[in-house]
Amino acid sequence: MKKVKDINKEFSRLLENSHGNDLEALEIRYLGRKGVIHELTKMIPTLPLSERPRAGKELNELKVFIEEALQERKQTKETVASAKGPDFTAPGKKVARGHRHHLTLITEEMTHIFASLNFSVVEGPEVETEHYNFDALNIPQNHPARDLWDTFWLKTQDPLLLRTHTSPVQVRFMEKNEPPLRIVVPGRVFRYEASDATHSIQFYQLEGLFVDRNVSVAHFKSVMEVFFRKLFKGDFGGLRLRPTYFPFVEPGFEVYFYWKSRQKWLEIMGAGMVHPKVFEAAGFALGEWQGFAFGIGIDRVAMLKYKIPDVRLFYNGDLRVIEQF
Amino acid sequence: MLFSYNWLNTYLAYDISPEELAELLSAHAFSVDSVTKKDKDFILDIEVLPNRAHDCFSHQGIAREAGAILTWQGKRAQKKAEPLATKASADALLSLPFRSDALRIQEKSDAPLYYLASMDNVTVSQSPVWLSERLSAVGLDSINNLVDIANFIMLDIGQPLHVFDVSTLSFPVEVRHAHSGERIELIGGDVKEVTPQDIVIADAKQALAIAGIKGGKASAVHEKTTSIVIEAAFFEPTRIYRSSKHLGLATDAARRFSAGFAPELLPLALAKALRLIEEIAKGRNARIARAGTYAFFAPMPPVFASRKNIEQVLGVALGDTTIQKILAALDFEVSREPQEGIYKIIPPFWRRDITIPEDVIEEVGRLYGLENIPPQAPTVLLGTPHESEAMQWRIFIRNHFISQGFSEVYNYSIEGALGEEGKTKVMLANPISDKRSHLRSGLLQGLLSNVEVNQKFFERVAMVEIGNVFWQEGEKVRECEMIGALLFAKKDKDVFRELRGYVEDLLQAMGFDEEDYAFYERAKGLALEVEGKELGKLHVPSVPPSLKIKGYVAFFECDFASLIQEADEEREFEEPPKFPAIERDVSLYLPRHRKVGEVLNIIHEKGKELVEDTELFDMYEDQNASQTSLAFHIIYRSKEKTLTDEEVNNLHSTIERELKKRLGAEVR
Repeated sequence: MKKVKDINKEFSRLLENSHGNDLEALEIRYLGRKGVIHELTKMIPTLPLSERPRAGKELNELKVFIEEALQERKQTKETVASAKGPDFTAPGKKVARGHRHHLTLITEEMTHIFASLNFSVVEGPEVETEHYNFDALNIPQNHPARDLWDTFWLKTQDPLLLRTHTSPVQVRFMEKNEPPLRIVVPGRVFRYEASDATHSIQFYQLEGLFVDRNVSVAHFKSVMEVFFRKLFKGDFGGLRLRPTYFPFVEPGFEVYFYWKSRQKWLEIMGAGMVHPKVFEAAGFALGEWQGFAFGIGIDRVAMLKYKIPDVRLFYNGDLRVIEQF
Repeated sequence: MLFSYNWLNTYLAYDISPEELAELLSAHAFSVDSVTKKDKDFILDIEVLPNRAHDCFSHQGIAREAGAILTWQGKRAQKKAEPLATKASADALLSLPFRSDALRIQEKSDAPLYYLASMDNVTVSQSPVWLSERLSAVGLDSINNLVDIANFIMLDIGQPLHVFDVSTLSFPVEVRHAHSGERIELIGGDVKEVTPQDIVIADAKQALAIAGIKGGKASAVHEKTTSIVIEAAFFEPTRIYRSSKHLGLATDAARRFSAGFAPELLPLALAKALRLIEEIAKGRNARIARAGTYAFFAPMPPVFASRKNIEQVLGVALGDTTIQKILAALDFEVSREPQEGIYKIIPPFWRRDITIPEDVIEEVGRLYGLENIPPQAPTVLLGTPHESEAMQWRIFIRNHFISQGFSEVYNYSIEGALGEEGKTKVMLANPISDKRSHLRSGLLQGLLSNVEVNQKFFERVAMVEIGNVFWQEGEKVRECEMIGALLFAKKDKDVFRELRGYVEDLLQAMGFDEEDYAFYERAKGLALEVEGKELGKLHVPSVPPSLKIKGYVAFFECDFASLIQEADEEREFEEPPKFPAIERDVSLYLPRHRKVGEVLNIIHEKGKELVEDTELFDMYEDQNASQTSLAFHIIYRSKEKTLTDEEVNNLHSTIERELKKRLGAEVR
């Protein structure tokens, strides 16, 4: 019957566009007590006798088709439902991860930049002699220049102290090694100072030394530009040198860099050309070698880069701070 | 140090605003921290560098420095300026007749030059407005015309002067070392006890002033004073520095004497002082007594520098003209030596810091402008940076703990006096407080204080610190780098075993096999021996009750340098086992007084090389029970053949029997 074909088409279309619960509605509509199939079945007796067998057969085929289609759909739905498994939107499991200290991160960043420029990383003792910490660096006793460093002295027979900078290691290194040499010395240093947000009795410095023939201020500027550009990346807006004084360099400079996002020049490093007296104390022949030396506070760089407001947060062991990095 | 712009400006021959002046000095001489408006003046806070204290702790000094920079730069409108004090202004003074019998200098080296100028007919009164204004600009109070003149000269020229009331003293005036226990009442009322290392100005009766530092009350001028003597001296800088330090008197005068200014300032200052006292206080009849001689204004020793050297160190080809122009602006006398390119440079009398060619290079560089030197990449010979093995191991060990969930901390090297047994803590000669008086001899205290902080926020705390500790060994101080790891848990009792697990894991990661290290019972824990050397400990520390730590703590500390010395980075291949293993479990009740270590000893003793591994997978200790419940996996394997079930069963039974027999264990 033509009607059967139409019903077939209509049903198929509806089934295709159906969602989940529509299946039940479809079942009722087509196979229910008052459904389409039932209505058509009721019509068969109204047909001519010769047509009744064929109509019945067609109607039966349609009924089976609809039943099977619905059954298949239901099964697929159930398969999907039982195969649903875990809810992928649940949050990931927390992992207990250890954290390196923020000073370690900055120190490694800075030493890596210098290592890429062919500098060796050297270390030395925290307890130093007066000779290496002061005298060999042209900072004589009873001289106002010593006031620049407030020192912790040890109660010992020999004049021992907690080093106020890592420069003594540079002197030790120069005593044992021939130029040319390029070294950086990271390390803990100590100052006899009242502690506050920007001052601590201990902090970390990175000092450096570059000795060769004919080293100049121009070379220093070039190396520092590379370093600061790599350290502060997009925030670096240039370097500026101002004259200053340290007993172990001549000329001496204070290095400022331009911090773009703060739109400010910030003092970041002390430096200069190594004083001949220092070369002399290290045993170098006069006039043969030249070099520049520099020193930068690692804590200060960490405070700038990571926006840490108080230097005491570096040494109180508070894991809520350490685990942010 | 504070400077008055108006005061400086009287000496400046160029038009320049206070802000521009600050910028100029900051770029080429000294950092100017601030420019503050004050009434009709501007106050510059200038950070005079320590090596220029000798010539720039004065307005004339700063003005001269600014003038040199401005002369070199040119380009500015010029104006009238008051001349700086020069040789000419001192000529009259130096040609006056001198007395020497009025003075006695005990030790010439303490006071190489000592001048006393007397004047009578003085009227002590309020200072004229211009003078009190000058002083108040830089924060000094006006006292009276005489004291103010002395202070003015000091701030103007840089030579401190002191005025005495002649009626209060008798001649000869002596410059001597103080007697032991000698006391002097200073202006302002303070009484100071001086020592033989300090110099005093004295007469036969008493000390009148602490030389170079502060005057005494008894001889100070007052409203009724009519005759005075003015002291202008050059004292030995180191002696004044030391005295001012130990007496705790960092006065304006002391600071200047400590810097060691040019002796020429003496006659310049004294001449101007006499002139002002005559003008303002009506003083008459100037007569000078002096001790010590000096060739004032004689040429300074020359410094030789080559153009090539100057250009090479700065890294810029300046040229002859530029260099000479800069040096001339600074009043450096330059002449060319017979050798090509060598300059003979004679610094002016006020510069005592120009002694080597590098000093000249600095002068040229800073006036030329460090910002004007273009950067240039250096050429170096390619080499490999020296890599310290210690640093690499430190990174390895640190990262190993981090990967196991430990976070890294940094603690203070300076602690209190509380130490540990067997180690004498190093004491500080100048402790900063009671809590910061000694160097740490171990990492434990710092880590425990970290636990106290962190237990408020975490159930479990795992920390690692690698740092230096110190202790006294006889006369020597030992410095040693240590690895410290601490595990804390509020509720988990098993922290000791856990930490031991991490430590063993570290040792194995470093390449140590199980035969290479051993733990021995010691105090409340274990000592660690690696390759036969005891270099660490693992224990449950006693926590001082003051720390209020609530939970279980385990601590590991180890000598870093010794450990890495034994470590071998290169691994060696070991063939995987050829034959299969058979696993058996043994569960037992162990009498409480027996130790797990004893069980393991018996297992290994009986099993020998056939016991490949054991694992304690269950342990239950009941405080009240008389037994500990233990359960082990034992993994049996032979390197030579496949073991049969029967062989393993026999061995396992033997082991169980031994445990029963020797330890009284009850096998379940």
